[in-house]
Amino acid sequence: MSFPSPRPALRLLSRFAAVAALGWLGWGLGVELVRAEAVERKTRLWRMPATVWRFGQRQTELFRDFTLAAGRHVPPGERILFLGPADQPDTDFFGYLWASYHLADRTVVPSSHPQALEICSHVLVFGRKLEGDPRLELVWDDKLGALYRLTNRAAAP
Amino acid sequence: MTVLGFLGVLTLCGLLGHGWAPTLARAEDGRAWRALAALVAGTVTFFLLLAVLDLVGVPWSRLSLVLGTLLVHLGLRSLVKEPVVARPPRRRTGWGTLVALVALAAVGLACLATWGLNPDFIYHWGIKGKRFFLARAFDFDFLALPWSKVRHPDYPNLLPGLFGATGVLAGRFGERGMLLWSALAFGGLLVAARETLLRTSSSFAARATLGGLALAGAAFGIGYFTLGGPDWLIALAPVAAWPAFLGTRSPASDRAVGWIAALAAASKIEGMPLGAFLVGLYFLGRGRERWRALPALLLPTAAVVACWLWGALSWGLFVEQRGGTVSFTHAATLAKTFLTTLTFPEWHRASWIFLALPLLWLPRVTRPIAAVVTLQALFYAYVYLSFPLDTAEQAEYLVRSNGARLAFHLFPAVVVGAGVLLGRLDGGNPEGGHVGPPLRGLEGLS
Repeated sequence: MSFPSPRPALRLLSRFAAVAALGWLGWGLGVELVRAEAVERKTRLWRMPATVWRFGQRQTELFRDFTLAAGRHVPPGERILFLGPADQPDTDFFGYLWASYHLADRTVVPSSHPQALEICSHVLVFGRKLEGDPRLELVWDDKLGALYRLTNRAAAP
Repeated sequence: MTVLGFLGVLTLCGLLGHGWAPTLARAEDGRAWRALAALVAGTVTFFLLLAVLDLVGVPWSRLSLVLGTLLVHLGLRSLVKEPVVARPPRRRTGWGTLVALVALAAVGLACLATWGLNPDFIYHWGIKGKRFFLARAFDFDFLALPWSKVRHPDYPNLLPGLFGATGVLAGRFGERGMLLWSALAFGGLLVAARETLLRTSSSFAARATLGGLALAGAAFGIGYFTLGGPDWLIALAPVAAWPAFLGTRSPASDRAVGWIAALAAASKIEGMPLGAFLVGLYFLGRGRERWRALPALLLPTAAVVACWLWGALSWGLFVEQRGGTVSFTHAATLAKTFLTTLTFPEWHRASWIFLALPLLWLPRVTRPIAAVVTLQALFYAYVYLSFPLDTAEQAEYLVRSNGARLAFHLFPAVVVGAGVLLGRLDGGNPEGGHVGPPLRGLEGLS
């Protein structure tokens, strides 16, 4: 299909529209850069659901420090069961994904796995503490959670 | 340090691409696109090298990666006996290139600052790369764990493989160096867009479109948290292949399309049909030489698919729930939600460009890419309509979580197509936007 020669007015109009669009998009890129930088500095998001955790936020940096500190008490290659807050299934699932990224030289197992208690040597609990369970021996404690060793795996349900 | 690792792997890919370069260049191809086509071939070859090392039981190390690359490079240099192609023509985009460089610098900055990191980098791509780095191999044992099903273990492993190799060369795994692969793909996308626009559009339209694509792509890429994901590679493929559809179709353009299709196929599961569409449409328009072109078109993708099947079948990685019959029960919700994803603020209304898609079917020069984009969009529609969904809320959640990302795959190709149309309004291109022989079998569709 061949196009007819454009009229000068149409040509001018298309050029004007293109320049306006460029200006608009340039402004948009600036907005996104400012937003991206702001994500880095956000500190009030700790109560945000784990579905919208983003790398570089204060809350995910604290979570990284928490998992790495706990991981130092677990020998490489061991399996760690991750448990999030009992009433927050999203944090339980996404927390497992984040924890397994940070502890890639260990194997982190989600709480949804039916044999998790039998195959793991440690339990990393985030957002709560587990007390009164005879199978668990406290290894490391932190304000964000705790790490336990599973002492009697055979007795696990 | 991981930035040095990225530069190291990039050098190895470039070296392998240098070996392929004489087989990929035509006289009318610009210098930058020649380099891009060679880098694509080199990157896919590097991925195949990683797979071969894995297959023969050689762990990835600085020594094995460098030595393997040098051996393949020397082999290519001694085997490839292509005639020297004429010096590339000089074409300029002036301020369009300047705007593109500013946008590319913004993406590079975001990568180095780890802004806009794709959450899937944590959930899938990055963790796979980290495990591959630690295992010094494709860690299929990790992918085969029952609880790894949420990480799409059956996806092709080009990007995690590059991450793993970057970590091996750097001596550690860090996000900065890994994210730079997204910036590289964006740079390649701009190079390919520039080549197509310079050859098919007016000078002003080429500059404006290149600048607009760069600004909109960077804004969405950073704002929608896509860095570190494979979507940039999928978006790159149709734009990178377009120059091969222009001008004289030759064994060189056959090979270029073959490597670019392989890159798409190795990047993500969505890239497999995209690679097939690129090869199929190019094949249809290849004329009498089409059967002779077939090996060059298919072999790179066949090698990539063989690697993928070897891993996925040997370790039983295929996840159930793929494909199925189409159901229109939630079609209205799916369509409405998809349109909503095109209004997400990170687009800055640039997604309106999709309205131009039907117009891309009109001129012959944009028709092949219009066909690729339409077929890929139909494939995405099929995936949505065949996905097992019980409620409208599930349908909405499904599309909300990935609709904008899938649109981003096709966005650059549509922008470049719109730029070609804008060039027609602005007086046309001095080279006439010559496109190869007609796409036989597709004339009836226009």
